[in-house]
Amino acid sequence: MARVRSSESVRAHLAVHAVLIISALAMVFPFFWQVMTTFKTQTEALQVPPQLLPATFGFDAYRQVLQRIPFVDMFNNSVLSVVTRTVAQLIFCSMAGYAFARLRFPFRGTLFVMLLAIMMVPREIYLIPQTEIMKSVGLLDTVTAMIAPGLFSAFGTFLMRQFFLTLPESLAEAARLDGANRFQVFYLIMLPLAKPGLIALAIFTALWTWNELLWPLVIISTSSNLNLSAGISTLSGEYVTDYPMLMAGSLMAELPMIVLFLVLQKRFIEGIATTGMK
Amino acid sequence: MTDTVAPRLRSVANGAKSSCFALSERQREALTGYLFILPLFLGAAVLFFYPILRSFELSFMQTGVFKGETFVGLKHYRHLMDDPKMWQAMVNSMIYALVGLLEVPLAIFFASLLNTPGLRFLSFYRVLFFLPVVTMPTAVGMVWQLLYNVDYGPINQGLALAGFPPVSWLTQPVIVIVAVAAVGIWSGLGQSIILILSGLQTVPPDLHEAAEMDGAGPLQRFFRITLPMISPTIFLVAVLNVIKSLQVFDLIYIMVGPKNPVFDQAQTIVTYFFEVGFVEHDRGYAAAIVISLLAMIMMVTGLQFYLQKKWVHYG
Amino acid sequence: MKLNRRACLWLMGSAVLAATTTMPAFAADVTLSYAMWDQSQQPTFRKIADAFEKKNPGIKIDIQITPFSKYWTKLQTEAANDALPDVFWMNPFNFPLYASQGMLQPIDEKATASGFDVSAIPQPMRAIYSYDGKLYSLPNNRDALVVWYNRKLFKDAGVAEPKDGWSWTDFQTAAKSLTKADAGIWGTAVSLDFRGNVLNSVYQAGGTILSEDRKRAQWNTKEAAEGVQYWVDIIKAGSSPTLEQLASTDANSMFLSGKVAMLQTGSWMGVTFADSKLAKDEDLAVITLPKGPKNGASSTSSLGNMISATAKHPEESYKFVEFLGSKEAADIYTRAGIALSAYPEFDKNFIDHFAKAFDAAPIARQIADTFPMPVSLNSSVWLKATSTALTGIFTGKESVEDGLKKLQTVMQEALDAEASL
Repeated sequence: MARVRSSESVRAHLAVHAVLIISALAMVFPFFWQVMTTFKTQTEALQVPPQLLPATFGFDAYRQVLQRIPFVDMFNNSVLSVVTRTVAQLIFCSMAGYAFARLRFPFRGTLFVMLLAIMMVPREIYLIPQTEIMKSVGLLDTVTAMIAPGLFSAFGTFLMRQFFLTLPESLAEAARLDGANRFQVFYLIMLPLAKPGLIALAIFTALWTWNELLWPLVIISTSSNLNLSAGISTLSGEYVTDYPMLMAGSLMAELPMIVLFLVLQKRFIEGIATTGMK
Repeated sequence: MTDTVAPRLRSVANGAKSSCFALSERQREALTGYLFILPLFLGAAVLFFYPILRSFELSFMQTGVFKGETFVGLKHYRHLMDDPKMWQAMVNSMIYALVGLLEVPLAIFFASLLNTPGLRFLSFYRVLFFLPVVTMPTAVGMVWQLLYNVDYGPINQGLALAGFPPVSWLTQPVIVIVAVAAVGIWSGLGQSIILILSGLQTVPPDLHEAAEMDGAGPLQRFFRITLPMISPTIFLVAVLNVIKSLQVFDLIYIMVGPKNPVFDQAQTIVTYFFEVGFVEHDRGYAAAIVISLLAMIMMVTGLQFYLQKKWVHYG
Repeated sequence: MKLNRRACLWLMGSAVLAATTTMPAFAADVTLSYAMWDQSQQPTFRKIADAFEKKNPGIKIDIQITPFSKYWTKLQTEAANDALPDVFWMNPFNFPLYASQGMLQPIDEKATASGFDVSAIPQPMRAIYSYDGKLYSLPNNRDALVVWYNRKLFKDAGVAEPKDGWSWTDFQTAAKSLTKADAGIWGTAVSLDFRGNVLNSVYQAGGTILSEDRKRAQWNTKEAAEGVQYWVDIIKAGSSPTLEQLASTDANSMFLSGKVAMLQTGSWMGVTFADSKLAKDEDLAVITLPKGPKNGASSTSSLGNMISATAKHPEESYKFVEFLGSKEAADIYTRAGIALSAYPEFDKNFIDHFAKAFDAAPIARQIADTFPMPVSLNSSVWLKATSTALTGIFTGKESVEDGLKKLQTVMQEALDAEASL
């Protein structure tokens, strides 16, 4: 019996592998193209019909990126943004998300809809008023101003709310009966259970902060105060863009996120095993 | 009547314990709730609600290029009603959002595969699906323009092999929206997969085992157990997807661009808002567009929240 | 969990590092912010700024780059908040808007006081950055439209290479003979690029698209129709890829890959083209624009260096703007091949820079025959309408007559609306 099952599951696994490999190719191809472009000359990058591989592999583009922008400063600004925003969102969003999911209070629905409205308008409408606010507190062109709006997230709250809703309410009730107060229920019972959600939130916060471009470009003027992706975007030109250089810069900016995901994904997939949920 | 009596009784008991704050149990819960959302709302009030209210105010104003406002009442909203560009943008946004929703089933499908217990190379696959998410928009645009290229693009070359005529993906009115939406799906799929994966982690494995004992096949188990269990996450992904679709901006500019003959016909509400507000400098009218967009997304989201009661199961 | 902690420590470390590096520099000096949008010109402008700092101890220049696609969004946000940089790049289309709203400082008086010879700057360049009779910039970076061509494709087709003074008909005939549809080679490429093509041909036919007082649209003239017809004829003859193809593959790419033989585009493409395989094979050449019924002039644009009305250091800012408009600065950027300057004596720098790649002398000759770009208060509105109209005309969905008739109405409405700005 066991043998039959295992050969069945081997066949099933092979099918899954086949589907995953084919679709992963489609996912990877543009990335692969980007990597190849970094080794090309500008002429090769603009060539039609397009060539997949460069004639020779040159690393000139990478060197140029490091010459053109204060890469290390920008990298550090990005890390600082990611760390502060992730910490802030993990706290603020999990609390608010829990409240919207499991605590009853007047105007809960209205307040939640108000919060969602933040995501529904184009980001551009925030530029002028937020700049006005930052100017009034003397924070123009500072890393603090660049980070501030991302400390509070409607998306994160929505995510955590949905996540808390999937967790069985019976656990909370049992803990309440055992004499735990609401904060203890949240902090000691629900939060550990929500670990996969928290890690997903951390991934998203890190990702969006890392890739953020418009707000940093508007609020920051001094290049050493910019974050990395905005800094990389300054490599594109008015009429022509040096594609190998731009792609090299982008790749250098993308790698840390790939590594971060590599580390975190295992953790959040394993998350369930360590929460001891039955 | 009975359901209000019990908590009141309990609150009396509680009140006896902490006599100085004679709050009912329900009031305590509400207070805790407000305290829990307070930090978030303080920040949001300054950084987000104020700008939105500002836009609302501006939508009733005739504005100067950079500064200066005079009240004009509903003028902009009346103008919106018979602005063909606005309607075109609205229709485009709708098409975009509808096509974009395909991301949800795709994400569920791939997330389930990526959650196969005991499958080898899982982390590796997950990272591959995550790659599009981190790829910079400019790189995404550049590569997809190549893929869609009329004369040299691999997609058309594939079609030619199958005996189909070439398709001009990015220069035909409706097709261009679908083509760009497909890129949107491609680049957003990884994020949705992560969300669904995190949802899948909350499905207790013993539920599956029990169902397997009862003789349920893998597909049955998926539709009867897994899907209902992760429906709150699916709902989240769907709502976010619609919001994201209605917000699409950079991708349109990079993939279509002002030199494209269908640039006008490919405008979405957000690109139209940007054209009016930041290129033509009519901030008042642009604000009216934003408020209409907000109303529209609110309605769609409201509908989604209403419909969710029929299919989303909360623990 | 161990790895986790180490990662955290490392993250915190970087965070602290970042926090300390963002502290403002210890400065008793005046630091001027100088905003621009082109990273590729940054090294050259840094050189100019260095030369300026050397001459003016106590003034430091902080060059700030925002990519062109977001530059105007940033500038508008800053203008709305009275937070513009001290000195910043401006283009002709946006200039009237900022000048009319009082966002900029005129420089006439300061120039007179410091004894700068404003008349040394050619009139078209001054005209671009004058508003209400006041001058706002000592512009640099002059450019013009020219025809770039692929000598090999000319040789292959047995077509003689063009010479100064060639005509519209010569261009059209050459485009036709150079086209080899089955080989995927076109004589030229007519893109949706009003500034690159139609604007010039209308002028070359003796017309204009905007009246002198910037109040009346001129698309309803015989000359405008003639100028547009010139390009429509080329498209109808099959000498250009379609707009759809050009949206799919950029005209510059096609030219660099030997798919397009002649390309009418800006002198600013020089740096990119010089670095191509085409130039290395000695197949790249450039020539002045073909002459239309009345002339062979090109529109010209130039870069404005503006002083913000709220500049914290107006005197120092003016000093820098004057330096940017000086011969010393011109000497530096013409040597880098970025553009020609207001001063013809430095044309040689520019030509020498490209000597190995191609003969750039025709660019200098074309720049001597230019007219300033027509702009009004809020040009982007009618520029967009023009693009829409030309799409209809170039794709053959609309006749030249009907298309221009509509455009005339729309552009006039846009101009009328400017009165209330």
